[in-house]
Amino acid sequence: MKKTFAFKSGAMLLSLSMLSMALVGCGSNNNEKATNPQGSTNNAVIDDPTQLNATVKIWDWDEAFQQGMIAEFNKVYPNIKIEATVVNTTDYLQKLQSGIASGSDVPDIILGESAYRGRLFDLNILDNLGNAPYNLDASTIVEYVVPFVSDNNGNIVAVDQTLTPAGFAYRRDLAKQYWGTDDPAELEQMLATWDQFIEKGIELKEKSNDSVLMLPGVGDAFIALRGQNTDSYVNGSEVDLTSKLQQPLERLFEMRDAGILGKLELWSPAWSSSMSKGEYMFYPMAPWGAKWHISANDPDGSGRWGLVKAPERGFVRGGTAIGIYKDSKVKEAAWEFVKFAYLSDEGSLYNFQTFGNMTSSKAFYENHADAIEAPGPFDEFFGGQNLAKYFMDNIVPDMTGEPQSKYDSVLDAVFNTLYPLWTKDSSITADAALEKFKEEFKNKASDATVK
Amino acid sequence: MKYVVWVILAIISLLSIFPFYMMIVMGTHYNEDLFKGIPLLPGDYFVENLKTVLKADFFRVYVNSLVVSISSVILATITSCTIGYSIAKFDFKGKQWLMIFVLVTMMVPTQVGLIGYIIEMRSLGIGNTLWPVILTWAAFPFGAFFMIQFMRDSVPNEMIESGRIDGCSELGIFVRLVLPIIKPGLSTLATLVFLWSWNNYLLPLVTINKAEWYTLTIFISNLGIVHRTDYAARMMALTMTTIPVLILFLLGSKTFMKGLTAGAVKG
Amino acid sequence: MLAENKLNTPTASRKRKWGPRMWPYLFALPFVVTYAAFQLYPVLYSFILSLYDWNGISDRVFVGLDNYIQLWTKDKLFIKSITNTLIMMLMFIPITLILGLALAYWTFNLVRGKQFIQTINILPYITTPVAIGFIFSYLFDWQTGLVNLLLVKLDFLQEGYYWLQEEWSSRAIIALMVIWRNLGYFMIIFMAGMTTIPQDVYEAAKVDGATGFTLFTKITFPLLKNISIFLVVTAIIGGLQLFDEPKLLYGGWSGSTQVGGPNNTALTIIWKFVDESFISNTRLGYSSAIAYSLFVLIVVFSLISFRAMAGKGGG
Repeated sequence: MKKTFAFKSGAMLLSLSMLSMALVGCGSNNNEKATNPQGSTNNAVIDDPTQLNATVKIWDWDEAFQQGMIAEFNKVYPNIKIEATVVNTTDYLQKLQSGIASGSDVPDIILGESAYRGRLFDLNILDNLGNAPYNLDASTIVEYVVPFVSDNNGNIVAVDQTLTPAGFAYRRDLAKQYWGTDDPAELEQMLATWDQFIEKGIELKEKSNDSVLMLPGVGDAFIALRGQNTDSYVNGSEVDLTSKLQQPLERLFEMRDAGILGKLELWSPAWSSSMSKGEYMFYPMAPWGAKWHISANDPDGSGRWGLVKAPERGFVRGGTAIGIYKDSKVKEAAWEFVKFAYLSDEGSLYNFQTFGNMTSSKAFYENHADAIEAPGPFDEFFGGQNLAKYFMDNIVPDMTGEPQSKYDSVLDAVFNTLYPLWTKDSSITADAALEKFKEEFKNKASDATVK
Repeated sequence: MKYVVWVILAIISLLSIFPFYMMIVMGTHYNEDLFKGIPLLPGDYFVENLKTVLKADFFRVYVNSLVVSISSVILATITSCTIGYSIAKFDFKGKQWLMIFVLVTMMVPTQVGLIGYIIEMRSLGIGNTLWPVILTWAAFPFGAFFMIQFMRDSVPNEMIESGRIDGCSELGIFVRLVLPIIKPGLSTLATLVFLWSWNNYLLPLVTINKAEWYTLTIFISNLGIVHRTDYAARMMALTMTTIPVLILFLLGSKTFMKGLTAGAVKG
Repeated sequence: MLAENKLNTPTASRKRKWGPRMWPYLFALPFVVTYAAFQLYPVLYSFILSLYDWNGISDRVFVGLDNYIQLWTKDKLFIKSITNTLIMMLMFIPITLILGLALAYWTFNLVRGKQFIQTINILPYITTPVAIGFIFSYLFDWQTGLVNLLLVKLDFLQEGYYWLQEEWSSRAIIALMVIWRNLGYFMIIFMAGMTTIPQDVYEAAKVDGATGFTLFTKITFPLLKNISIFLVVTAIIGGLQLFDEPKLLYGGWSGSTQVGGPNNTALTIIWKFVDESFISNTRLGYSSAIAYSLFVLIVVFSLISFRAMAGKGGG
């Protein structure tokens, strides 16, 4: 009896182990099969793309956008069904990778938010859009955007969801009170360099008796400084943090030591509520910031905000890249949707007027200049300033793009870990901070050589 | 002494209920207001937040979570109390090994087999359904261990022996004599499994790809739109998800109390 | 005598074949079978995966025990995560056990209000972790948190204490979250155990003149032995897997996730695991090695505690 049982259980365990080994083997086979070239769609020239028949899957966090855009899309492409699943930004990459690793559902259209965009590109699962059947011409895209949507081989693998050039949103009432003017052009002159910015900051601090400072915290200042340095710092697995961060950190600490920065952390409740309280003059802002940050947090503040270019040049804040899965079975149909929603004149007009998204396709701004000239939904909130025009004419022109890599998220993560400590302990110097940065970076990205 | 006890219990209860109270209050405010000060009193945005929550297919998701949790409870309690009975009340060859087996399975970290589990579910063809989320509770080591320990104490050997002498079948003894006695343990286990499967986040996140099959936890994390996390609406939704568990617990604790008096009568 | 006669009839001998000897195996079968069916493969798969280097998409590269070697000898954060986890466990397990037991005993012996107290104290346990993390980081916020506001108002402090960014206080807050959460749970488990103690034992002791404290130490506590073992062992197993509380405390407002807390003092083992697989990196093989190393740690710690409490013979 006992022997039988022991034997039976032993055999069961053994056979199960063998079964699992076999399944592991099957697992790797599946991966290889998955990289076969696409089968179903015909390679012949497609006469009329609007008659394509397909179901395209997309994962997006913005349900409202998908609902509106899909309806518009279906007016032109009635037979392409778009299935949108809502997935959170924070979970996106994890869900995607689990899906690919286990061979289950992978969407045809993949979104890469700036927080993980570099990592997404480095996974090499997005198709090169310069090739057939997409044939995207890089010269049709706003120049500074190109590096942001290319992988580290220089291939364009995504389309920008919306332009995200950023400047500083400022409180008109405070500017008028302490500097005598609230005109964006004059402020641009006054704050043309960071040195001037710091000078003015000290002046502001003194005049207001410490009640109004330039920026809410170290985090906000760094967004601008980091974004302005767009030189590549990654070469394969060599990461040159010194060239990337030394200058921004020095500037940052200069500002901190001058006392013109607040002590708030990004996105904390205190930070959000400071906008209406008038404790800080500037907040980094991209086009989407007007709706989601400024007006959301200061609902009664209409008319007392303005937009000005940051000292020296604009920087990028946020942004989402839209790519197509390399092994998708419905590439043409997926591309039609991406083209329509984010690049075509028709789709971009709808996009701009309904959601305020600004396309990265140059043609749009030439063909629909009137759309930009017309007042936007938040212009009145910003004292009548035409935000879209200001972004396009004043900020975009001298912006440069930054190549993406998976180390970008590590850099952001390390920064997020360290900057509260810099705020708290003012004895930390820029050099010490850089050293600590390198150390932490090495901890998180153990395969990289850090300089 | 009695008063001291009461005071301590009262303080601890207040501290316990405070964050819960905060959650309810937060659900009644406009999201951005949450950041202006600490809301200690209910706000006036109750209906709006409720609309946000209900607008997005809330009922369907609620049903999904209910299906998942109830099925999980059934499966887990069956497997747990049967093996609990086996190890607690019998003597057999390999009992030590079986006990060690249960303990060791309990020690496997829950996150370990994630990818492998999904692969297996896919090859069984049930990858895109609610089954993966349910079946993960089918063999629940914690539950087995709990039942083993509970039954060791609560089921008297003499009762089983007399059942056998009376000619009762083994299955009969189990169903008619043992099960009624372990009700408090069963209801505790059921409540816990319900709770854990209800609040499970990671597994549904990576297995469910169709919005119509989403469970509550995933649904809530998607509330709010691209740049604006609607914390207030989430708090409202979270409050609503806590209700069934609370009800279940209230019901379960009644059985508890009955078990108390049953224990007093026997022996 | 009569029983023996019964056992020798034909029906009885048939019964004996299927008698108690077969039944324990049959009863254990549902669990074992379902485990083998649904949990075994993933566990084995993970182990094999830990011998590879894989990011989920490209091909797998066999590296043998390299992952483990690198983990234990070169990865400082891993070692730190182990010490962090152990420290926090020391901070919350003893308190929760003692306090939970005391509360259970007092509530159990209340004449009225038993169910009320029970229900209120289970609320933390059934509140979704997401809400808890948010609320705690809200309460302990440096600038606007309720705790600091109160402390400053009552003149205990000049300026708010930076709870979430100091090394020891970050751990303390996490421990507080865990204690707060689990008190109710420990209470109901202890109380479930207390229901199995027959009342007449208490009666007899009272007749002999025993009072509160003695009743507790001589009767209640020993008879709760098995339940206590359950709680201690599961607390250790659960404690080693600590993840929800620290992650949600620092998961923050949208965007600024500070993995590991201030200077990585809140980084737990599972947090490192999730970090390696999904957040900072995509090293699925390496993180499987972390998970298996944790498994070994859990086995070691819980077997020690089980043996220590149960004595020989397994209770």
